[in-house]
Amino acid sequence: MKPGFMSRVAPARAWKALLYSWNDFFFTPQSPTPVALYRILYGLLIVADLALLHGDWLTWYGAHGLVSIDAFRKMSGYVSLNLFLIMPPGDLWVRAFFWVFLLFAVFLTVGFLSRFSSWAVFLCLSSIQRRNWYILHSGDTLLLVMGFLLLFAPAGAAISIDRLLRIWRGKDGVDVQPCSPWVQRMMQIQTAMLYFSTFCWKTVGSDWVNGTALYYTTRLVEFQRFPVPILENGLVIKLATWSTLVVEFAMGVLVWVRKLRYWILLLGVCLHLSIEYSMNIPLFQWTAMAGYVTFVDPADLSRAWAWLRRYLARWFGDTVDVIYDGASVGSSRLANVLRAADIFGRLKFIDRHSSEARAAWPVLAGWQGKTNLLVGAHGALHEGFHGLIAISRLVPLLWWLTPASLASGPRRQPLWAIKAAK
Amino acid sequence: MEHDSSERAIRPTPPMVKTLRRLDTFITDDRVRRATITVFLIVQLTFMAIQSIPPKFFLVTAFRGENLMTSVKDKVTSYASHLGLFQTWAMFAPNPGRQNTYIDAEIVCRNGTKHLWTFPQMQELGYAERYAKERYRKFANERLWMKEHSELWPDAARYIARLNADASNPPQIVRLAHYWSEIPPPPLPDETPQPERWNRNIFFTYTVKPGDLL
Repeated sequence: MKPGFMSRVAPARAWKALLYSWNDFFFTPQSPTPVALYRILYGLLIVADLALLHGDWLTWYGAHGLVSIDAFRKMSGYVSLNLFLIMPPGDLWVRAFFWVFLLFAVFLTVGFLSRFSSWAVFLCLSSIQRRNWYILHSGDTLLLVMGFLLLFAPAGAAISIDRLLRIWRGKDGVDVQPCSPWVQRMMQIQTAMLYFSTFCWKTVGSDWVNGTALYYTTRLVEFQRFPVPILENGLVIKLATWSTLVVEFAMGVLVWVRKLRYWILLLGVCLHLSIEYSMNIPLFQWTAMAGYVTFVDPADLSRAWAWLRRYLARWFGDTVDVIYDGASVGSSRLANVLRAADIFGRLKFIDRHSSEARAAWPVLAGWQGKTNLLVGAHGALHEGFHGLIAISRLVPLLWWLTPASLASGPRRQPLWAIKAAK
Repeated sequence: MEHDSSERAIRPTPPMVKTLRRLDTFITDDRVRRATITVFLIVQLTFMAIQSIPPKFFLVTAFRGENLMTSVKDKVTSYASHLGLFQTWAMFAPNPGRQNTYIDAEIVCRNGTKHLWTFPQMQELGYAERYAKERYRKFANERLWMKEHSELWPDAARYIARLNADASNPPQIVRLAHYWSEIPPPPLPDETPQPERWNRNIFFTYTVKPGDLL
């Protein structure tokens, strides 16, 4: 071996290992379900934020509000992502802006036009934050930076209307396809950075280090919510102050240790719930905790969901047969859409031409109808809209039809369904 | 027709189309995609870290990187602000606030009568209402009274005047006042807690113009 060979090889190996780890971390495909879950939580947070603001839309953003449009135009010295800069003046436009914003937030939550909705929500959120930054807190900042990352995420790849539409059009299968998780990783890093950063800031000051910080925060009357008498004790104050530092450090650094992750997330949840109880800082705790879903391993998520399905099975009762026509493209696609929407696994899909269908439903042998789907429930077959009503209780996407299922008794079933039952 | 189609078949692909096809192949190439994303990730991660870590953090000062960090941070902040991606997480840090505070407005009407209008104070609201109205606290108690936000004062005064507009006795002067009380340090054992002492400062006086109330 030539002298110095090892010294040349070692950095090359290290570089390769680093490159491999980087690619593995950011690009090895995995289920987009955690990101989709985050999309839902994010959408709900935006809706909640807009609802909380609703009474004061014009106070904060109106032409004659606490920060008038004229003053704002004078102050906004630089180009920024702000629709208020190009919007015509007038409170009517401000109201219209917020209703459109709310509409896209709902779209994002349900995963309809997910990519476009995430851009629209980000643009609107950025606009209201630029329009009046005097009322922002860290929760708003977190919503915006996470919203920026969401722009690049496969947010509509799972648990979304978009996915159901893709399945309906035959462009997607029933199983969720793995995606490159780089956006999810960035969301994890952003969440961890939030904690590490606040830990760093707190160690710069004296109150957090000497254990008196919570003495002062609990005496800021404007933040007080529900009483915490235990924080009158000096020793408890010190322990609680230092515990906050420990949890924030753990959430920033130790959360990356796989074995400790869920315990640390649990500590984070406890920290936020205790702050939510004792301090009035609207939505911040929920915004921070929403980021935790990006840390959940998709396999663990599947296991947890399977457990929940088993637990809920007793509430939903027996499975319901959904009979589709395997020879018909439309019928198969509709069955696939229902399969994807059947998140509690309460539907049993049977091809009409299979022996299983003939055995379970002998009446099918003589039936010449062309209905796409038949639903076999409570010993009767239901077709069309009545079929959907029959399964509405079991599929969350159809829950809005549940009142109709209560209203339509056996008398209102189609004649054919009653004959089938006989 | 056949002659036409064969002619079309042998027609050479225009250079523009060739270039676009090559570009498309290049962009959709997985390695190129990854490399592009990697550059984006590195830039974002760097910006995220620089904005989030305080220059006085001991690991920064240990390497004497305080000045470098501060100057880079200033430049990054400009980029981030343009995109709306500015971030800092100094929550109740480096030290929590040590003042209880509120803002009110003294309104002098045409006939000389005075009355007070106060920004919503969270501790006086119900639990649900204070959740919805917290932004008033942020605006008034943390921002409005500070001199660096003096650009807000005329708007705030006009807004308060409009809220209290009475055609028969319109407001003529609005005085914005800042009240604050220092939170005393934790009392030592056997020491009686110090009473809170409130201070007041009128930081802005505005003479209402007739057009302000429209």
